[in-house]
Amino acid sequence: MNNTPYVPVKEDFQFLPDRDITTDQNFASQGYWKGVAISFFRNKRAVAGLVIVALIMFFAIFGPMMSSYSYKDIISVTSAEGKQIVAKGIGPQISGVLQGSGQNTELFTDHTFLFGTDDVGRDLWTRTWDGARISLIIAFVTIVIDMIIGMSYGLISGFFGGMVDNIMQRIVEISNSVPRLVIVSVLAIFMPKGMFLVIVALLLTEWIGMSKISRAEMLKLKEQEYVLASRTLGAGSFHIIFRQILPNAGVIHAIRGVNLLLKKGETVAIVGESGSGKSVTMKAACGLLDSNAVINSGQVLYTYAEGDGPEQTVDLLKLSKKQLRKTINGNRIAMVFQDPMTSLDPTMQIGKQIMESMILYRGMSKADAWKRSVELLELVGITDAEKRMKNYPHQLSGGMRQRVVIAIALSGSPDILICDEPTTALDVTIQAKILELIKEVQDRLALSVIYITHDLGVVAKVADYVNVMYAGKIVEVGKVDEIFYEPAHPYTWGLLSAMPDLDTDDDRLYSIPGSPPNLLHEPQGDAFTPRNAFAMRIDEKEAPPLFKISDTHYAATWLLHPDAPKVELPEGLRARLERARKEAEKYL
Amino acid sequence: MSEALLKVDGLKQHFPVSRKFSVKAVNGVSFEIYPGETYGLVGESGSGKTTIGRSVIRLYDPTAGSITFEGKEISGALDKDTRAMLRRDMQMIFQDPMSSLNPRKKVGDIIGEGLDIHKRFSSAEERREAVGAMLKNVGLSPAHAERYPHQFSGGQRQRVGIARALIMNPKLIIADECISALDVSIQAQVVNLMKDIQEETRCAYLFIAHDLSMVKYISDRIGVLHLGYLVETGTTEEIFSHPIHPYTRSLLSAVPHPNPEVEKRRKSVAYDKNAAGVDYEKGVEHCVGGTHTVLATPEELERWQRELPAI
Repeated sequence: MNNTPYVPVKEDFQFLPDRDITTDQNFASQGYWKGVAISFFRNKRAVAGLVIVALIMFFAIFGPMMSSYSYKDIISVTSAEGKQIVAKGIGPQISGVLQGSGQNTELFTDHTFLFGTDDVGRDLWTRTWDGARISLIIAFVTIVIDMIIGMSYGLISGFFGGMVDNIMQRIVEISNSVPRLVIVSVLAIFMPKGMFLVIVALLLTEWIGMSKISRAEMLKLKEQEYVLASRTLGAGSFHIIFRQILPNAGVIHAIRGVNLLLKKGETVAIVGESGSGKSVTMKAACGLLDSNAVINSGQVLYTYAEGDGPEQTVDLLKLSKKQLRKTINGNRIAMVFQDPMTSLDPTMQIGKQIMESMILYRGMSKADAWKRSVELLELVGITDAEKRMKNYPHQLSGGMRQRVVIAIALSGSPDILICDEPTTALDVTIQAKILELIKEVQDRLALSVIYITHDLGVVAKVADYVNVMYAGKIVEVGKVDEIFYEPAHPYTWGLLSAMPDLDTDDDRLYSIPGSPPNLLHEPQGDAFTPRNAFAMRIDEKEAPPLFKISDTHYAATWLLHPDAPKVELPEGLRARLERARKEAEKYL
Repeated sequence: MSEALLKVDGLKQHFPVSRKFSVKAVNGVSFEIYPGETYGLVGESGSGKTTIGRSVIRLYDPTAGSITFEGKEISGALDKDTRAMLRRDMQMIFQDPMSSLNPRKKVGDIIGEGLDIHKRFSSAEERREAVGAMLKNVGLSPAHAERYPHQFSGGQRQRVGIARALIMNPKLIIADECISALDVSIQAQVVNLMKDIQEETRCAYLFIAHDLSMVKYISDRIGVLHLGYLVETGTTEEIFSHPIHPYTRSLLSAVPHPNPEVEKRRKSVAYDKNAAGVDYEKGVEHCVGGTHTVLATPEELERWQRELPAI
């Protein structure tokens, strides 16, 4: 990426002609099986296992042919005195003359038994591979047949449920309670001993395991929406079981240059849709990215003071995981995630979950931690806090769980609270309460808060500053009033217009056509160009820098270049912003 | 007014959990949908709105009450003809664009599934054309029929879900939170598409949602659900300009406006059913003008109408 700023020419500021975006070729197509193959071959242990199994199968088929003996042949050796001795338990190497016994009377010299002979004098190499072959045949036949029987049994039992499932499962349990040894013994009474006997015995028992697995999958899948869709289309049960349910993994440039500034006591919102990179930005700052994430450049500078000590500044990206954990996680920077059900441990009482980090990271005693936890629960507005300490997450409503998550986040007395879509999973009335709670707590504790969200209503309520992100870059940043009353970037215009206005009866909602880009390939020029009604030639060539509108307001769009044509806001949006400003004037 | 397309009367849906206890998801809900209109069913989690949608389309067997569709009773046992009619003329669009499409099937097969089951075409060529036409209708291209769901974005998958429902030419489409999982700008796209389709085919929608602003934009009439009871119904205008039931009012007050100076100063109105002493079982439907009805006892109704503040 060159650092010299691009100097635009006059032709660059021509608007692009109308494009048809509905047939966008945006999506990386990688077939399902190809994806499976790639994941498989990346796993060294899987490949090693595959190699071993392949080798065994190879020798099972071809091994015995490499030796002239059968598994029954007893091998004799002529000793120095000329006597015949059975070659019992000899090692791989033998020199001298030997003769086979039984049908095999050829002479060999310096013959090597790769695996030696057993106590009776038989070639172990042949016996090993003959045995392997038998085992593999038994296994293969049994598995194939039992898989068909067992899986169908489980699928049918799980799908129909009710009485059918009841009866079928009782049969499974009864069959399962008979030990395999007993079955084999009974069968041996009237069946000849051999491979067939073993296969039959296994067939009668192995199907049970398969049926349990497939039934479990079925119970999970039958409530999936595509199955319900099939039912509403009128599909019969067989079709659903066997045609719908049964048949049933590059470097992504997620963030491409983000500068964020957060001051004490401020609330900053990061707004963006899916694929904008908003969550990844914060996770990178907290060291929460997956191990396959690569950070190419940039800094996350965090300034703090230990107690009354001097201020220090660290770059969070340069710290090792251990250092990160010690300095900040849970303590100075806390995160509140979207789904309270998965953020809380369902098997641990909530009191313990709050106390846990206090005891581990701050060395508090159990009694002190307990007291502080009750205080925190009261702080987040949970009544009967002492009783609630012993509750499990599932005994609380969604709103209360999110309050507990916030309490846990606050337990480390953090400087910064990062909330990643904290209210998206909650009802709108609870959402309002949680946002008010966070504001109260923030005022009381002088917290700085970062909100990551796509909901502009939430942003309007809580934010002091707003960063609008698109395709991994910040496209507009400013004070909340500047963004909502004087937006400057076409994407922001689109977002504001796409919200239905409670105060008017718009006939048609403006919508930004197309979808966010797939970041597998780094886009050339401005990433928003394909969806930008105001795109110009230059947008295809060069990504715009952030242009200054005021000390606090910047937008990354070539429309702000002095040579760019003046563009009017879309009429619907202009009227809406007028109205919003008028309403706001009552308070200012 | 023309004959109601769908008439739900006293619908109850209870799910037995054990011999003594059952979850009462829906408790005596009644409403009507007329041909070509959009009825918005609004409620929060646990209100029973998804259950109502699924009961109406007979994915569940109703515990009590009657459902009449196109003049025929569909809440009891279904005979062959009624079942065929139901599975043709009533369709559903689901919430989660990720799981509502079978990941192992091509998009063309997903959309054509209804045609396949009801044997609606006579040659492979005809089927392919029907699927292609439907894809164009929802703003995708016929070439997309060969792709798999994972190759599409959320909004595009939802369009596929709409195409799947549309190809059967239904009279009523139940949209169960079908835009909640999408980004805001994509929501607008999908809603515009639904409106266009309604203009073209005159189908009716039962639009189930929790986002009041979107519901206001798309619905002709609205029903507000709380804990399995329909507490207030009316036209969009009636509900939004003078809501009477305290739950409706609290719901409206909680909707955030994208206007920072206003929004920062607004405090939401709380409604605690138990603290207010409201018992939905005792309430009766009162008509308060036009089609506007409220579930309340006479005393409650009088009290609430007196308390009507400006929202």
